[in-house]
Amino acid sequence: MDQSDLLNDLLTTFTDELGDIVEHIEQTLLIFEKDSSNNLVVDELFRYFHNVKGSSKTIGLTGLSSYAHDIEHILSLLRSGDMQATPPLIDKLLESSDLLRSYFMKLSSGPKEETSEMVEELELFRKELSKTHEQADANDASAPAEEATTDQQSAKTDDGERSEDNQAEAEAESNQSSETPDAQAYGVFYLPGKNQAAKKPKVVDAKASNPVQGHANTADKPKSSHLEKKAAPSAAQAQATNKRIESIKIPLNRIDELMELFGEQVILQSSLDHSLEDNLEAQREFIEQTVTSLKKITQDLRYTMVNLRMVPISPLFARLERAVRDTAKITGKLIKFLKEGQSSELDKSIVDALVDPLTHMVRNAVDHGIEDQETRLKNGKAKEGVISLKAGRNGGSFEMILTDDGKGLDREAIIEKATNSGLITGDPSKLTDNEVYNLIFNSGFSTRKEATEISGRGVGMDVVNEKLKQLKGTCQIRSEKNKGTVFTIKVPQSLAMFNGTIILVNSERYVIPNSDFHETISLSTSTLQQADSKFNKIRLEDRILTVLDLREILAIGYSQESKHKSNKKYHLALITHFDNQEYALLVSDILSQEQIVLKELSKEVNQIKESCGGTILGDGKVALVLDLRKLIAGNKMKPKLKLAG
Amino acid sequence: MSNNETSEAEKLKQGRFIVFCLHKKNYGIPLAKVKEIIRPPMITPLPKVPGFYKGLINVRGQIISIIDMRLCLGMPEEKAIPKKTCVIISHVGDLLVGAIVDEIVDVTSYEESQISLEEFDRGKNRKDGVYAVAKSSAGDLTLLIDLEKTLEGTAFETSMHLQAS
Repeated sequence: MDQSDLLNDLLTTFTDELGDIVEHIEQTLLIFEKDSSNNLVVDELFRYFHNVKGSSKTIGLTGLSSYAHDIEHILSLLRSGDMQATPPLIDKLLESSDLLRSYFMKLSSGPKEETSEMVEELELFRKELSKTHEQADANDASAPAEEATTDQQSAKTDDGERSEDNQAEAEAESNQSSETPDAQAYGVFYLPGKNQAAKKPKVVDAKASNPVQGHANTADKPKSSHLEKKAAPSAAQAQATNKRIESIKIPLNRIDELMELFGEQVILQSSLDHSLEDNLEAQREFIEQTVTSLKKITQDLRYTMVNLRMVPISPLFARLERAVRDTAKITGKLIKFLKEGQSSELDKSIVDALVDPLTHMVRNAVDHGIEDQETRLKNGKAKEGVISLKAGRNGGSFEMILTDDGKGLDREAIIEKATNSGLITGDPSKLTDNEVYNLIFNSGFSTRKEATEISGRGVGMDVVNEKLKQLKGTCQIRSEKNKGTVFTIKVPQSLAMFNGTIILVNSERYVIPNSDFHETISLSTSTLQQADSKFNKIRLEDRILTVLDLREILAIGYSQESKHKSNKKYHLALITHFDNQEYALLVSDILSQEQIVLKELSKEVNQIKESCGGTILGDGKVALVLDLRKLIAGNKMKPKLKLAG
Repeated sequence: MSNNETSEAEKLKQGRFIVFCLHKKNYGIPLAKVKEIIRPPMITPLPKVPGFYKGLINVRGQIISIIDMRLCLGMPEEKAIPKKTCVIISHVGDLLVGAIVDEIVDVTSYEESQISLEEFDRGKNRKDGVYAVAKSSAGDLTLLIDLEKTLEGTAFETSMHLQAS
């Protein structure tokens, strides 16, 4: 392995590590803001920056190293009590973690090195920081001399001393084990020698006793003793190898569980092989038993595998807490942010995808939801607004409930706005509250007269909605005037697995995610014949449905279905919303509901616009998973947008 | 990358080939491109695809596309015959594709001298992807076929080019 490969490896390891550290720093800083007298918290922060400093220096990111050094210096002043944790200082520190995050983003997506631009940014901040710093120093003249020595020491600490350092840290960390959920034993997938892992007892990668050495090991024997995280062997994923490989931490006991199940499977497999050698009929009972056990283990394996992708959502909560804090500061509101279910787990990609929409929603809640202090007092409410976020499993999906005790959604304002922009026609008084609230998910909808610094940056609730739909999630709104608003967000627990309905179209089976439709009805042939020829719309009681016949859209070759159609008296249809219209999709039959394991299809199949993946049904046959939104978008004629009512 | 390309081209010109039968004619593809050979599995047909593209199959949990070689080469379709009809799963570009053939005939080696490329100006005049003819020591002729060329201009090609860019 040549020098550049080695450096590259170290850099990748470090980048991953940095991502984790940034999350931790931000979380810790928010704790620090509330409890600035707690030296343990400062210690923790100090460790994180110290870590960044050491590691970045080793791999030549000098700009970052000096940056971390400066912050570390401030922290050491805080620790010794030579400097006070003032609100501006905490702001500065939070800013420093933002800068670190943007540095991390650039490093992980960009040129894989420190660009001068990145260094400049850091330098600029350091200068600003030293100003704050000097002010603090002026307050206490005795501090600097003393600090300088501590500083040189810590700057010197490299290989030898670091390991001691880390041991001490490991002890400190295990003492605080109740604080963070990741104090459990973790195995590090793909990337070994993570400081995080090295600090903790009982890790897969036991040899990485300190970060520096850990890096060296990686370089010498790449991947040798590590479980490499392999993506599902689908062609599309295999082709994506030149992308940066993401890594996640997995508790060791989950891997053990997996190994155990797999071991059992191997044993059962071999006993099946043996029984085939003998008289099959005599072995019948034994074989049946074995197959039953095999089935059970396979199910368990599947479940455990899916769980491997699950990560705690606490980092998401931390990001949101930060958003609440910042928005509250800008708007001058007092907000209490209550969190519940931080340790619940969700598929990593879903957690990542939820960051943006949820950040937007909590900002909205602070900016639009909670009233300013005077109004609150006038309305007999506590000065401090309360925003709470509860997360947890609910049935087959994952639910997040965002509640604020603010002024609630303004039905009249929404209707006025929607009427003005032509979203609704007809008598608005017929609309249910729910229908009115749902209007805010439309693009370009904002009841605010002018855009503020916080919201109105072009990302509206429509983007939130779009993002949630991509995740096969939904968002419901309940609101009461002057009491507050409740957003209930539902997403599947795992993108790879969801509840789906198996339908029959002509003679083929397809899967539709349950989140994609909300009702099934049976339509009589005579109703369908009333459809107006231009837009294929029918009236059903007071609803207007656009009819799309899946049996035609998904026809394969020369289908016999046209005959079927005329013979049938009733047709089953799935009802779905799209662009404020209700669509009725005619199917041949609805077969069953099942847990569906989604499989990516390779590129040549992606040309089939109607599908978003495939799955393998119980009998081993492949079925396409339909994406109703794409299907409708690709097949609808262009009727004018009107809301029924 | 250029190294890779030469070796790719080399694979077409000599080495071991899988010989299969289509409409009583023998065809060969480089063994190096073949992942495995299976019996015809259950096929899920797809809407809106050309006739030769039969649909999707499940190969131990992996979903791959399956094509009918007869239809690809403009021959009449035939029903699968048990214990004869096979599916060759091979790499086409960076895709994995199953190809239905009448029967697997042989796995054989050809020297460079046994393969004549001259008669087929590869990919220019012929649309079926046949690029050479190989003559065995017994005198049997086998048409060597490059599936990438066969699928050129079809839905498959578009996706392959997407990858190349």
